Amino acid sequence: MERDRGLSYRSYESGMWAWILQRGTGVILVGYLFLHLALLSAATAPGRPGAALNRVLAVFRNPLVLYLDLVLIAVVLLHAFNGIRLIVLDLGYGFLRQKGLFLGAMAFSGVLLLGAAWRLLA
Amino acid sequence: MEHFSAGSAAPTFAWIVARLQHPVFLVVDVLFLAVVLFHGLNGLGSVILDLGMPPRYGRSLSAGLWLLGAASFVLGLDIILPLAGYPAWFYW
Repeated sequence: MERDRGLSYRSYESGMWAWILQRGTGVILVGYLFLHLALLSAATAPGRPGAALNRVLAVFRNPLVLYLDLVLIAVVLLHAFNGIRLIVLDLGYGFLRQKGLFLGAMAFSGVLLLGAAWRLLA
Repeated sequence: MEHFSAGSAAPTFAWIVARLQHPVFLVVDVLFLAVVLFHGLNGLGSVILDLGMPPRYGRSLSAGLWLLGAASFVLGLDIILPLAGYPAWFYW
């Protein structure tokens, strides 16, 4: 249907948000993947081995970059645990408890994110 | 994971090279690159199809994504292998 273009799953319950979340974080992560490859290509620059790469990596001393890194970790955790929820569902378990599984995945991501923040920003 | 092992210290070239000396990390890195490229581009393909691309272009889309994935994988190897100690193929 022309009306449904771009939104193959339209029921406005939490399941749809879970699907949007998975897709949105996935697209973001693909974008980050190519950014990551572009940044690390500094390792191939001619000259003293590692000089260009160290200059690029030095950006991690900037606290703003550390916060952006935390955002990236959040995106990865959300996508990963939502994905594990999908695997569990595909294996046939928890069909009647999908909402609980989704909220559990989000909560677990939040807990790990707090751990990451403590480790990274301390 | 890399950002954790180094703590809040910035990663450096030496740290990366030291990590890649262990064959486990090298194998995991290369496999991870291949798998994440496949998984990510596959997902991108689904998104593009959902956004209403006419199905008759499906083969071209698939071929384009495979090409993008293969090229990215080769470029990724060109980053990883020299860091692990193997000679570089080309500079870009």
